[in-house]
Amino acid sequence: MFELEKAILGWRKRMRADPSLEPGYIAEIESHLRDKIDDLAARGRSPEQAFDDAVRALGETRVIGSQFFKVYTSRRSGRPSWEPPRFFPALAWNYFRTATRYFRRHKGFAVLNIAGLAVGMLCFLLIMTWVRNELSYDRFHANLDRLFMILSRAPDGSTWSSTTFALPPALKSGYPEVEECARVWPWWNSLVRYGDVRFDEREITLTDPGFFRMFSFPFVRGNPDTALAEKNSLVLTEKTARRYFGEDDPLGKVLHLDSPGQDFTVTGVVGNVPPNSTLQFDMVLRVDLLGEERLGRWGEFVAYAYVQLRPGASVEAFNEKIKGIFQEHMGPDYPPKPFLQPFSKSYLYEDGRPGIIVRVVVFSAIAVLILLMACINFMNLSTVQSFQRAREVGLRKTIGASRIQVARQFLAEAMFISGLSLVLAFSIAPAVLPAFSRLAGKDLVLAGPGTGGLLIIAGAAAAVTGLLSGSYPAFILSSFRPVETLRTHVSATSGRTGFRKTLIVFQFAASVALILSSIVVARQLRFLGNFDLGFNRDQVVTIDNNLQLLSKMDVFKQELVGRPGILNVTFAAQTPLSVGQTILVDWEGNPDPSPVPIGYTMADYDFFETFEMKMAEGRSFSKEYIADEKESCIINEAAAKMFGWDNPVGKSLRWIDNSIDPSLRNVQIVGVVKDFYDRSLRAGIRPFMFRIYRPWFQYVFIKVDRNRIPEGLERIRAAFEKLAPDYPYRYEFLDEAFNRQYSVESQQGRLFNAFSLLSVFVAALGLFGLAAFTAERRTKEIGIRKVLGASVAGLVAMITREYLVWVALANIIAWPAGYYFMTKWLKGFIVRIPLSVLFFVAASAMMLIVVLAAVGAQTLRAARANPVDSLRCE
Amino acid sequence: MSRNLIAASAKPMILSLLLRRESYGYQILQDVTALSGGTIDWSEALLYPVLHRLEKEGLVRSKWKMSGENRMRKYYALTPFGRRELEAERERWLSIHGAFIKLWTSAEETK
Repeated sequence: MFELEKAILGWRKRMRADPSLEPGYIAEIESHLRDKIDDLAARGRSPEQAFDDAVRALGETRVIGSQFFKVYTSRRSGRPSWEPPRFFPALAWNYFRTATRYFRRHKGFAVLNIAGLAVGMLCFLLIMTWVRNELSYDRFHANLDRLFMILSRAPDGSTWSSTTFALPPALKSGYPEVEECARVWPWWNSLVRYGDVRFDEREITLTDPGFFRMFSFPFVRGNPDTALAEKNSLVLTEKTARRYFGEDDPLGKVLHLDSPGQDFTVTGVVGNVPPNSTLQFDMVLRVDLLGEERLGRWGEFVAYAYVQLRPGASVEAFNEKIKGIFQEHMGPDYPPKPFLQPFSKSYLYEDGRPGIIVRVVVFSAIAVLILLMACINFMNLSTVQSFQRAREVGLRKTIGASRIQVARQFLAEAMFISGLSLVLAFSIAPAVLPAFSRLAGKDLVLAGPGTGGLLIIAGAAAAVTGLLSGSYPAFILSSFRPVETLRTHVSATSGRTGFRKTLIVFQFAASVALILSSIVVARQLRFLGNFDLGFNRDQVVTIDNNLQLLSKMDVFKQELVGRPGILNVTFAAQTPLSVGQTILVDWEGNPDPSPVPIGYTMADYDFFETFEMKMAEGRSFSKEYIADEKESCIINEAAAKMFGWDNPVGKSLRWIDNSIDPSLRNVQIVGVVKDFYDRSLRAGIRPFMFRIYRPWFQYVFIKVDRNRIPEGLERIRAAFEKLAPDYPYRYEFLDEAFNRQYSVESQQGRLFNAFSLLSVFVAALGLFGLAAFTAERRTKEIGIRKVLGASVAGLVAMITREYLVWVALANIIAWPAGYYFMTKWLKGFIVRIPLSVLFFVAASAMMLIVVLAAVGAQTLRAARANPVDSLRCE
Repeated sequence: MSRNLIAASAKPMILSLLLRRESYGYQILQDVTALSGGTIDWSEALLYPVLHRLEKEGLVRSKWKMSGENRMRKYYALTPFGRRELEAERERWLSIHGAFIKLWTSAEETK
């Protein structure tokens, strides 16, 4: 039977237990309680229910008490003296002392923990330095948010980075949104003279006067607004200016450029172009040099061009406005459409598609992964060792520490260690950075402008690492029950191994996946290096053509051909490694209503012979046919297929380009060359044509005899110096240039290898610590087993078996993940290796070896020990 | 209603109620509920610390009295200082109120 008075008495007792509540307060609240109960009872509740509801409506005693306390206390915190404070500053020193004492007693553990984390953080730091460098490109322009690059889009959705010369000025004059525009065209290299001083300049850029108003290249001398005002003005970089003028003032000095054979007056000097700029130049001239006719062309997609929009202009609206502009000038059937892409994207995105950004994302992910693996090591080692500190926890709790307090203590300890590791990583980084820079092919700096950002990132990473790796051990340690820890010798780790094993399996899986990826990357790169491109680039010497040589091409050829060491000589507008020009052609029976784009380049006689390209049909260019220089062309098989001709030789094509001489617009096919890869292997084979047009020949190619290379080179040099005495002689082997073309890939491969190795190292480090601990913990078991007759080999097998299960599990995770990512990566290449099972097996085998090495050494030591020692002690 | 608004309005509300007659905690709570039609919902026990704070600040004074139902109750009454404070509070709330009225009527017009 419910008795109200008894219930109220009980309630009063509970209230009195709170030291904040004086009897007077309770009496007042009690009168409230009674009023409320009366009211509720009057509304028909049973006394018991009325009491319960009334008490519940009052709220928690502790909250009421603390509110009352706050009214009367003079303490600023409002915390009653009997409540525990959130932090005991007095204990901080004690925490520090017990932690350092523990580390001193378990040096191996401390070293392993700190070193593991430090390696993880070092990797993170290095990768972040690299990532920041990649992301820093072109950030220095003040108007960056208003700068855009003009790209073009074909009807099939493909995009490319160049546009026509006529478009940018038309945009500037026709659309109020456009504030400035600049076409950027790399000029041929030219011999530049100033009195007796001459240099062969290779980085000459032609552009519009708006260039320096758009892009923030700081002027050392001259004014960016007016620097390119005159047609013969020239701006050069500080470094280039010093080459010609030394310490003299360059302004107003006149330089002579052999190509185009004119004088230019220096009107400005800019500071050296930073390496993280996509726009690189030594000299800048006016683009008007190319002549009005050429600059008025609407159909030749060759120039890079940039615009600066007015503040507040919308790019989307602008893109919508200009999308029909080519059709206005070239007729409704002309396919391309221009669009703007933020200039800030031009480094990370290639031709409007993700380029370097992919690498940035991948490596950032690897950085986080390695850091995560280091965290896992820390977590595992700490939890596994935690029982050693069980007594400390027990004692703290007995004296009055709450669980939160203990957890906080260990969390702080983890943060401290992670901070220490960060300091360590920062002090090692400068020593490793030069090697890393070489590996990355970049000049990376740890300190410099914007280091604050890196410090913040690193600090945040350390804090997160500490939290992440400290939270689980803190959770485990704080859960110990004092009675158990003080009464018996606990092994608190048993039964909680599931989580730890999951972490280790994850770690192994990440390592296996990374090893697998680096194997595949390395194999694919080697495959590309040996791939038959359809032309032979070996023993081909490349020389840049120049004006003197251009006028004496035939003489040069005669000087060399037939001499010992020289096999063949030819000329071309571009190297076969990158032939980028595109032209529209039309033909009899074209199923498409509009002309179709086709790749083309200009090449001389003997081109196909020099590169050992096979003719599928017809003949190659020959001096025996007078018409060859005017109207003959050679197409590749892909082009023949596109035209739909089984028998292409003798058929005619029309170049749709109003800018070229009408007499040159009709060409007749005289031969079909077998398909070849004209660009990077990422691009594939496309319809292509060759014709002869001598004024554009920019390169000389000479095939030398494999057995007489020095002799051949010497002969080439002699001929060059005789015919082009003004120009410095410089040559390169084509296969070296080819390797450079894949340097990005091989760099990526090298970085990838380095980091997967490091990840394996971090994983091995953790495993080593764990194995050492397990072996130590099981010494007695091993001793007994030995006494009972177990062999050393049997014992090692017994202990390692456990780890092998983990490796097997890790492989099950790693294989599909690795398969997925590698298939995706390989898809970026037109030719690729098949993903062989062998790669997977090799990756797993490597991981297995690492695991066996890390575990085996520890286990072997434990198994070899004399059982008497392990059983006697204690 | 937000906790902040309840906390801010509690003081003038209590003072205003006490201006009419002296009262005790339970009655104050019921008056507030009745006045607001139940929209103002104070957590019951926390009224008492507020009353104690007002007393400590000298705005109200309290007295234990025996009520009709033979029950001891602590009655609170306004002090002269409390009256002045209420006047000041009244002005503050009215100026806020006035500002809102102006804002919202002009908003109505522009609609």
